[in-house]
Amino acid sequence: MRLTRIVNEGFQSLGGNKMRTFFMMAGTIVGIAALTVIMAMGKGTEKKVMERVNNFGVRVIMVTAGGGKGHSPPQEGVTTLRIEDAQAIRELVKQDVEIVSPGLMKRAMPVKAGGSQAQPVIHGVEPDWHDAWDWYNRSGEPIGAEDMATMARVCVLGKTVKETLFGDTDPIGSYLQIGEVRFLVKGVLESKGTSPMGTDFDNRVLVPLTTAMRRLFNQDHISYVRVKVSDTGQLVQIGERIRLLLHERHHITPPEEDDFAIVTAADIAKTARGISGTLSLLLVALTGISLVVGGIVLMNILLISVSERTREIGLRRALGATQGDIFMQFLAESLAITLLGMALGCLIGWGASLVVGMYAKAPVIISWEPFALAVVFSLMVGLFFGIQPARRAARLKPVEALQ
Amino acid sequence: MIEIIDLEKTFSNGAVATRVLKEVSFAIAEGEYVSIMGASGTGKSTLMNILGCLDKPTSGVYRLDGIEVKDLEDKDLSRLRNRRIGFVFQQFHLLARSSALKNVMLPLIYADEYPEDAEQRATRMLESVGLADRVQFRPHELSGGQQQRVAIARALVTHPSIILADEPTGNLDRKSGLEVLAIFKELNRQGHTIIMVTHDEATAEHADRIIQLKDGSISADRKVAEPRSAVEELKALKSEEAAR
Repeated sequence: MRLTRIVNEGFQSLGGNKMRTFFMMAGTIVGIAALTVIMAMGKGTEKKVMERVNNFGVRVIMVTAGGGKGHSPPQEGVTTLRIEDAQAIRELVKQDVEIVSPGLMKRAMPVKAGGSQAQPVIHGVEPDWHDAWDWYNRSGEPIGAEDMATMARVCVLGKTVKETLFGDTDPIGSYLQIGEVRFLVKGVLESKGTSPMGTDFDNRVLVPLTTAMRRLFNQDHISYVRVKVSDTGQLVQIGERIRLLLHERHHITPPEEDDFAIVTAADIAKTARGISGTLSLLLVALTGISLVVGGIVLMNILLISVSERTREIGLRRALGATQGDIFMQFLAESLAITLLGMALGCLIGWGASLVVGMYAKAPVIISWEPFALAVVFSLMVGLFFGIQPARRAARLKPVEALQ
Repeated sequence: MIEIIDLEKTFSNGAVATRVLKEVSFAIAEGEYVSIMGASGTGKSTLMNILGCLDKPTSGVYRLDGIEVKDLEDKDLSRLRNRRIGFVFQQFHLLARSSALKNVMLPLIYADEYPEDAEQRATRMLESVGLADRVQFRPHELSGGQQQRVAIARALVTHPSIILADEPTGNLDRKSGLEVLAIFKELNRQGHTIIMVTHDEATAEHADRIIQLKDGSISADRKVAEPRSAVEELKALKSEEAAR
């Protein structure tokens, strides 16, 4: 086909001046490399965010004792969050939530069985704890309503505690001692492993909340209330309603500091994105700037090359090239440069993403999208900045060009 | 083949209009070998450009193979140049980075139908101008005369109606110039129509007919009683060199 022959003529002229070709490509290379890295990082971050949010609970609002920002464990010394607060919350939002599950946590209470000892976190929980945390027993019975009512001395073990105290033997039906109190082991939880921060989720013992408050620790305050809403769209709004309720109940008037913290899945996502958002923005800017600057450089070098090659253009016209042929040749040249630059940029970006993933410990996911986007962007740059030089070349009068 | 009637060309530069060609009329038949002669500034380059369909006349008629050139668009003009005209320039105008072969094939790129045997065709053309052993050479590896012969092969590759040569020997030494003229003579003998623009009378007299331009008009249009023979002159030159 005639067009392919013309396009081929455009490609041929690239090999001639390799340095110039490289300069024409530089902007595209940098731009596309940055783009590839951004997208890889963006995807990695999104995955990390989703993981964090899923770990936290997509539909969850955590109300924890003690002020401060961010998602931190409840502060043990704070006594202001009370079981009545959980009741009030339950009343306030009963239309919009599935579960309101208060709980109590204590560390550093030794647990013994036989000759072994463990240092788990003791959790005082209500029966709906399992549904609130989507965390169920592997064997045995869960904490039941009956246990709550009778302040039963029963417990459910995390896998780590079970292994420390009982090894491979089935602990159900056995007894252990929390502090000075004897407890019957009712069940064993599924294993949840270790958090990215190194916390062992399985190092826990669940006891009925009433038992924990009355028999173990003799306290009226709780550590947290976990709220699971029906509609994720309501998360933030329900969180705010709970905040206002607790302000009222705790007689807090902002700007006085809260003695509790409310964290929603949305907050978790925000924190997880953290600085990677800012970094992405920076790289997006870099992409844009280098593509535009690179495009301008490309255009200028092409314009210079048009004036340098005036005679060649004149000759081609004399030999039968139409204005369209000349236009296509120079446009093909511009497109070839940007596409080649794109290919190099993708390779470099790919390598850079791997390096970032390894050394910056930022999660990176390499997918096809950045490459597809790179094709689109480089075609746009090649077309946009190639048209002007190509038009100038095509408009040269053959008579004048040949002189 | 070529018909020119009352051709005028005026260049306007702001308010100043210069009539470069005035009332030029002539006809060239198929198989003729014609020189267009004139000192510089007599309009012969302009006439050459119009004959080559690189430029259009201001008024008057130019018919090439019966086609009225004045009415044609860029696309059709380009096709006309590609099909019917073979150009040979004073400065050769070869693509510096391409081999002799690629240079000769260049016009075929712009042909409507790209011949399947393009490469063989170009090779044959190079052979016919005596460059069979220079096919893959680049212009800078060739002498001026050889470069001009590549250009002639390029002009011939599309089988044009006319060969239009603009001062083809202007950049060549005497011997290379004569070699080029010998090729033209041979091409003409084979039936090619050749129009050669030159300012040099001795060169012009290799043709059978001379159209003399003066101040934009034809001052003379005459048959050459005895055209010079490039082959004879080459022989003479060689014996001269041998004698020295």
